[in-house]
Amino acid sequence: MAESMLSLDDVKVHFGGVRAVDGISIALEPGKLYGIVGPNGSGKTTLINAISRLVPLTDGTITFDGTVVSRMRPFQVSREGLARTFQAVRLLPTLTVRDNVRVAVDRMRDGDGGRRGRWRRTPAERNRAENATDVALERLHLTQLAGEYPENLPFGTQRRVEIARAIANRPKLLLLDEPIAGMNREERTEIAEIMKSLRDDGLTQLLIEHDLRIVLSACDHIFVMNFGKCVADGPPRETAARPEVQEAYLGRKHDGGA
Amino acid sequence: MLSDWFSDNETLIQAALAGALLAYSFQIALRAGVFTLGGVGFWAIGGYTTAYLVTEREWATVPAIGVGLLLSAVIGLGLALVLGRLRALYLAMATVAFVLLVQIVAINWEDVTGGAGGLFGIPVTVSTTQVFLVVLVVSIALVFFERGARGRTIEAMRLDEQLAQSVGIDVVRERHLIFVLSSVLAALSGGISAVMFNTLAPEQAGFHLITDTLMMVVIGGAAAWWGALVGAIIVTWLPELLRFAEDYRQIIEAAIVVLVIVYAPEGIVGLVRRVRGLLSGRRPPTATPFADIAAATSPDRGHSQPEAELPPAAGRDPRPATQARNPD
Repeated sequence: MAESMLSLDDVKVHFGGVRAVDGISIALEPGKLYGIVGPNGSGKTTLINAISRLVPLTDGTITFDGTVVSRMRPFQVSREGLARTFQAVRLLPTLTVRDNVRVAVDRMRDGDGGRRGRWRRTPAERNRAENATDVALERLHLTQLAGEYPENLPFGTQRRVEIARAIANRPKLLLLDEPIAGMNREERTEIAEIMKSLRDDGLTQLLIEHDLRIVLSACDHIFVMNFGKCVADGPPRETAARPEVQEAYLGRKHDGGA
Repeated sequence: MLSDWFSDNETLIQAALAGALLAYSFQIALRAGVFTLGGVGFWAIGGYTTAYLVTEREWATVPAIGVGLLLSAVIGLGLALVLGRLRALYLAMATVAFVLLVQIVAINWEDVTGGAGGLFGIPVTVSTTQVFLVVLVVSIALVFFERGARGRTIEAMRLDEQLAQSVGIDVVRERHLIFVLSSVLAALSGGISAVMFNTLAPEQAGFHLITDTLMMVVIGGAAAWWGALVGAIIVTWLPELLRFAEDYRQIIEAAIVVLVIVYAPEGIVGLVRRVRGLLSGRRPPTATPFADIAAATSPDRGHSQPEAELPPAAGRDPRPATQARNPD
């Protein structure tokens, strides 16, 4: 598949004896919304950390939009157009909502996409960064809260700020690590709508989520992980109904060994 | 009269100005989460280079200080490359070792440094007004350095290195830059001190200069450049103001530092921001500028640890009951 947005070839991440990710090979087509499901400890977050280069690979190759990124540092793969959110909300408490989003577009440059950070930006570049910030805030309905500090905001709103920061630099691929955990039903639906509209704009997304209702309704394709391996993948509803997937989630009644 | 006050207190004013430059050196590093105390070593390098070139080689002051700055920038970059992987208290320890190393060199390289006795009779070639102008220019530069995009970068580096990386900040390169700038500012303070006070001895560039400068940054607050300036003025004048206390002076000084750390951990900058927040009705954020130390004990700041997939906190993440852990 030459036109994959992201392809993983036998990716392994081992921590000592723990095989957190153990030979994952998947490919994401551009413009689709993908979901990763699986029980706690199945390696979902480690996989996302490996793709965003926060943990070193033990083995395997990651190709992102035609570029091999397996050995890149996190900031380099970010500048290639990969953005992510974190499982625990990670905002900068001393910056306003607006500045929390702007920090992601500060390296926006004409031409090379900011790969070599020039010292000064041109006024046009600064304007573009301002506009990108406005657009991201607006998209997540945060414009009114731009001057607030994160700790004064409810949890669900903080999550929205994180997503705004992730999409501000117009990434090619967005990794979302449980973006709706801890939100109420209304907020969950709202975020799901935003993810769908981003997909409609052509943004490829890879989502880790425990709320199967959201995953089944929003995703185009899901991967099921267990024990660091991808045990099943396909269209959401059919895949979720498969016996091995039910088993991964519910466990077996008669333990016949792994 | 103002001019009378000025001439009565000229030495203190000079000490506060030189102190402010060294405090700036500490402040820009601490605010960016780079816990280096190596500034004192660069203060010595800048001081001795300037003193040697002005006294022995009869150089003019500005190029002499310039060579000191250049030398410190190069050594600073070298130190950053060697100590780049260290964080928090480990970095602090390593940079203290560097300071002590510089001090030992200063004691033993008698031809250049005058040995343990130090250098005397360095020509005084700068006026207080000139030094004031230097501090003014550096302060203005710091205003621009700490706001806008770079200000946000600095905050991100200190508060969350992983996050900073994930939004495209080259943390390694930024830390090197901070290291070099911090070294250069310290060397500027040292060079100016040498040609302002006409003596320079190894004992000046030791542990007590580290604690004095840290005191400036703690009392003033590391969250903004002007905290270092205010801190430098206070710490310089404190012994003078506490003269009445005689033998108890140091005890009172120590008590003040403890009180500030307990009740105003962000120093005067933090106090001012809190008052401003109360007046405007908008609660400002609380975040200590020394968050780096707390981070040293937190596992998720490391480079290679997996982000734990912990079960959700009670009440925060109501998940469907179908997601029971696999009993295997």
